[in-house]
Amino acid sequence: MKVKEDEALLRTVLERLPVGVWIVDRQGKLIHANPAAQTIWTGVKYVGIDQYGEYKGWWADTGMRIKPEEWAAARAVMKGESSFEEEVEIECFDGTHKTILSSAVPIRNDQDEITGAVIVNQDITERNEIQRRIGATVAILDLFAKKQARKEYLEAIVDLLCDWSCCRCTGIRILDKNKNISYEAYTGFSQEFWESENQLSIERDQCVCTRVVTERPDPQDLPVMTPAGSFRCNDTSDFFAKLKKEEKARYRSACLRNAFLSLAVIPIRYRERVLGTIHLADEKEGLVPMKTVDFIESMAPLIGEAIHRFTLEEELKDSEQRLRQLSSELLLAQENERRRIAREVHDSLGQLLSAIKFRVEGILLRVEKSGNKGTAELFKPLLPLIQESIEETRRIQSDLRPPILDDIGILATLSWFTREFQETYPAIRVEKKIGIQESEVPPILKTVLYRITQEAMNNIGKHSGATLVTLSVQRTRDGVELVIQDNGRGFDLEEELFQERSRKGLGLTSMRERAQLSRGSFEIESNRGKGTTLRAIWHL
Amino acid sequence: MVIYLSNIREPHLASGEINMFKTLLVEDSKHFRQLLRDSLKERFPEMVIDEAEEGIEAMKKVDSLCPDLIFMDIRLPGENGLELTRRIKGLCPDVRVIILTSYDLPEYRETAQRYGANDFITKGSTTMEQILSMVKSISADVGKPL
Repeated sequence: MKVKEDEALLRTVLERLPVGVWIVDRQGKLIHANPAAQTIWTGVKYVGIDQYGEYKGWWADTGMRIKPEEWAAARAVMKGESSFEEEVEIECFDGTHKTILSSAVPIRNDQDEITGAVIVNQDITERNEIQRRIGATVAILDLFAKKQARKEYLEAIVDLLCDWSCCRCTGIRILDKNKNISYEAYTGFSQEFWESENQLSIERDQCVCTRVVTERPDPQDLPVMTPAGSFRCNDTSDFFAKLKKEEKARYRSACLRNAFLSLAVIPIRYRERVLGTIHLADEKEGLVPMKTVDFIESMAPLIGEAIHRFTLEEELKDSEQRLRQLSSELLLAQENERRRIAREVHDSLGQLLSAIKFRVEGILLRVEKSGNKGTAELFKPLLPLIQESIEETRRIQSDLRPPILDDIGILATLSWFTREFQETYPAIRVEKKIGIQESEVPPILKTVLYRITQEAMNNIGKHSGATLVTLSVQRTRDGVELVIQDNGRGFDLEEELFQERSRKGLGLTSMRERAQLSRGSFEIESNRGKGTTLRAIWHL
Repeated sequence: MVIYLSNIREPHLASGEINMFKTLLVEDSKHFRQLLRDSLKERFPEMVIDEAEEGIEAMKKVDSLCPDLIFMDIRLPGENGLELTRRIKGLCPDVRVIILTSYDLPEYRETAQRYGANDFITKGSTTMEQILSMVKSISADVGKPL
């Protein structure tokens, strides 16, 4: 009674176990397979060791076909060997492939004789697939993080795709502004193939690649299209042979001429928009099974996201470059215009006023000599007015662009500027440290050095409350360094940069811009109560 | 450009003018040139006066006229008056160069001196009388008294 109960319990347990359990007798003949085992293998064949070959399996690590006597069950009954979680690729009775973990233990009686064996199969296909997808996702994201440019990224992706699909030829086409879909990265395709197929237009050309991008498959494509919009054909020769003449005309046939029996074209989308395609091709047939294409289809959105991001980054870089160019041209134009107006002020107004001054002096002298002192006295107050006008003209000219910069150079300009600064702000002592010759400063830097110094020193004069400013221009090993340091109250850099955006700031952005546009670096250090140090460095 | 200066070759001058005091005005302002010319001519009618608006013309006139005195403005089209002075003094050290400018800055004075200018006067603070007495004294110095 007890035995029967135990047997019933055992049977129930076996039936409900989520893993496949096989029992073999002492000869190794399969005598029992629980429902899970039959589900894994999609059937069962109660055979002996010599017919184990009916079960098709391959070692996962070597890919070698498992011989009948190598199955865990055979080894358990023949050699008393226990095995634990051996990874095996199997072909089920319905032709599908799975990955299982197989373990086996021999069963012994009281005399220690082997009377059979128990084999446990665990289906890890799904787990492996999830792991594979996680691995692939990580690889794709890793490349995205490491690669700097779209082309470099896609070249690495092509290598991954080649690996995953086992197809000899892999390429990625990207749709450009002109509606062409050239290969941005590829491997395996011959030069001849590339030359004839690289420049395809989705407007002018008709073939699988263009129709996958436009998402408008022809009726004859439909039998080999996946629900996600990929073209997938494991035997193009057979596919093509069955087409009518006018249908054949809708293909360029380059893949066929290159004997690519396996062919898949998978769309890469960003959101709903197709950005390009993944092209897989191989001379061997059957290399684009649904499993492979499905897997790559699941990875394609990640690639699409990266392409989109790289494209945006590149567009942003382009736009930044253009903005920089514009900014540089604007600064140059502004400087030229200032120079022109300053010159005009000097040449016309300044010279004219000087001439007037001399003429009036001459007239006054004559009037005086002629004994008409009263008239002379009447006109005398004109002279200081004229002189003041001359002085005012000179000031306007210097404010626009000090002529000394063009006439003598930057070192004389800095000397003049610091003297003027000292006169305007007598409470601030200026220490000037010049360790460079005029000829060592490239002409293009002279204006930049002056403008940054002017901006920085004016800030110091107006806002810092400093008592000491050090202005240093030095020749470095490979360039020029400008440092302006004060002992004033300093400021909060972040707060200041915020103010800059509302155009109320100290002109830090414009100083930085001037330095960077002349290929220099610009840094500023400031803390409340601890002064400010501004450093611009140019490597020449 | 290489300019050969010669103290003998003075083709455009009349024979009587050879020993006359010669002044070159290098100045791009028409008004100022006119003013200087008028003032000099009035005081020293026998003085030979020539003019140049910019550097290249000035170098040619230096070569052909061999002036005793040059009034030099700083701001000129192209090469500035300071650079021009350096070149002229390098080729012709005896010529007296007076920088006549609107910029009264020590940096200009130092540069003018370094480049060989003999004097530096500013348009704003010098009177024509002072300029004329300066010319008279130079003419005596060079042995061609006016």
